[in-house]
Amino acid sequence: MIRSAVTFRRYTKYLICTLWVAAGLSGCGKPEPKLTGTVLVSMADNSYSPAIIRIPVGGSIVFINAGRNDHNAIAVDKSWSSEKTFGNIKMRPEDMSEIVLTKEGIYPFYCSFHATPDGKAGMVGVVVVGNVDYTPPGTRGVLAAVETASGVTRRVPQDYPTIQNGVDAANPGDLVLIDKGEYTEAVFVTTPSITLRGVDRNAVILDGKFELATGIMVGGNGVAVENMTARHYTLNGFFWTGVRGFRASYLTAYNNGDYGIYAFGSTDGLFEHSYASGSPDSSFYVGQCAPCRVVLNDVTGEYSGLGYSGTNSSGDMYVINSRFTHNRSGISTTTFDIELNPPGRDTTIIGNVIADSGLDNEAAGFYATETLAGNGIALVGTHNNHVERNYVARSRNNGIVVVPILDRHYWPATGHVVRDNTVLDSGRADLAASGLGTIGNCFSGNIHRTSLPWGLQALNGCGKIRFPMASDLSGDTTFFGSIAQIRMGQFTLSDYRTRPTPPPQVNMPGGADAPVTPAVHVFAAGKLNLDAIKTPREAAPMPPAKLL
Amino acid sequence: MPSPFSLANPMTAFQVWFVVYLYLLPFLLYATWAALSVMDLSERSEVSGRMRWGALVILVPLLGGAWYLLTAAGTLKRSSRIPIVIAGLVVWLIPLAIGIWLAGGPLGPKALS
Repeated sequence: MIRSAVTFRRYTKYLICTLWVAAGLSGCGKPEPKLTGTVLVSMADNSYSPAIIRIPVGGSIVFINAGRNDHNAIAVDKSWSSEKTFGNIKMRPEDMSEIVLTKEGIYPFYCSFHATPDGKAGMVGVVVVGNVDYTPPGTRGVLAAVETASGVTRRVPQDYPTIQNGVDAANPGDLVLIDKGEYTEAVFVTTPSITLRGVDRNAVILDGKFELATGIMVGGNGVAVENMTARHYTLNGFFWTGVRGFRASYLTAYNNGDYGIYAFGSTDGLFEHSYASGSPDSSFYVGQCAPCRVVLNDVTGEYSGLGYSGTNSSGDMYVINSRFTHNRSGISTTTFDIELNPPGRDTTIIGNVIADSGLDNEAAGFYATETLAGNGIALVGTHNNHVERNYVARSRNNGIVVVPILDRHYWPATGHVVRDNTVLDSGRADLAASGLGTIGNCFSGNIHRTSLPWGLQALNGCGKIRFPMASDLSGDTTFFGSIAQIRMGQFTLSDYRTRPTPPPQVNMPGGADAPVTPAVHVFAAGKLNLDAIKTPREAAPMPPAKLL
Repeated sequence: MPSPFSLANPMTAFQVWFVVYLYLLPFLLYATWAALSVMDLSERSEVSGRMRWGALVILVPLLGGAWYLLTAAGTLKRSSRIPIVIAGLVVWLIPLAIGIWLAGGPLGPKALS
């Protein structure tokens, strides 16, 4: 069951050291998508993220202490623990331990410093290994999702003093309607097909006070959250994990310590008309899904490490009609071995405005986002994305860049189609492709002035022969230079707790009286018409560039 | 036209150092070793398989030129050829190792608080 434990330091050194071997072998053939069973779990102060994990039999969990306190992870049945794999009951900040589980089953676990040993209170989590039915604790048995609203409205605080009380009482199809006020809660939703709605997006505020982990975490299928704000959580504003069917509508999330609006291991969903800012990782994140069947439509992400981030999110994944400005990097699709189903692939990015990426130090961030800083759209070790009709301006480094990534494997970036974008005033290059094996990408019809290598679009047009030499290694070396620079402390990050407070956002049409629609069959109901999307322009006049 | 040195912004000493030693220097070594090898081949009509040697030197970057200089070159003294290759490797590989060491450690915890 238990195979190995490595510290973060040894692990990353291993990764880097294998680059030079792996890179030399990478360009010889088309990499095949490979199913791996490793899930990364962050240990924050004091919670696990994600807290409910599914892995295949023989898969593994990599625990990383991302907090400032000591933590550990111990199975309630004592069959495994980070103490056995890591060699010490204390995992200090940055320490890492990998645990392999070879037997099907459900494994609740806890941190012995911050939870009860029965795994029921405090810093706890659950690993589900293999194809096992699992119902999160606190639910009333297995409830089925429903497709229509029940017509029942449960009011908070008139009928229930807290949001959690209202949620716990709700049946599938119910509406939990939340009145104006500030709620210091971390809500966990397991009942399927309910709708949580605020009566006023800007006046219904969940506030974590920089102590609670996540504003609303959803572990039930078909749950919609609408028209409210979550701020000041140490992890996430709104979070769906392991669900089928979800919708975020007219939400605001700002100054949260990890992600703003976040879906992990979840499919068939929609983020729409929402705003997120001030997250060290990303404003919007969709991770580990294939096929995702997820759409981000008309969202705005600002002042975060990344505006939108998708890791191993593949297939029917769309980011459209949205705006990502003043982030360290605007949009990133990424492949990591530490989440399931690498490589990330088949994401469509159309009709977005991405501007001022990495241009100033107003965005929150953490060390890893700093390595991508200054890129408008970065396709990092992913495959077959379509990037079309976007407006990308004033990126500190590259407007649109295609690069490989090294994790446990070396993942070249291949098969991307980059066409008909307007890319202006990038500090390094408007279009760039870098790294061994970065071949088979095409660039056509993009309005741009500079590219690296020179002639990228001319030599790699879509529908033409794509010359393999049109990717260089300079991007890789500058990337590693950035890592070294970060390790030597030559960077400045802004604290997520002090990022700008956003202005009031548009309320949901109809407000409290809008029709209630459970979030089932969300993707099919969306009826995307991608051909109708035109290249946007910035709403405001372009200010003079600062760093070009 | 972007800079041929392709430095990221903001340009720092680390960026320059990485680009020079890890990116540009191998090209310089390739050019130097290949040029010396081809010059040697062109002056030695008695060497058998000159075309094959030439192809090896040109088509197998770094290794081809280094191999020829270490084992087959004749117009340069052995005491000159070996230091040319060894010194080149040292100048490249030591900074490369330092670069891997610098870039190979932890980036730090995810949260800042």
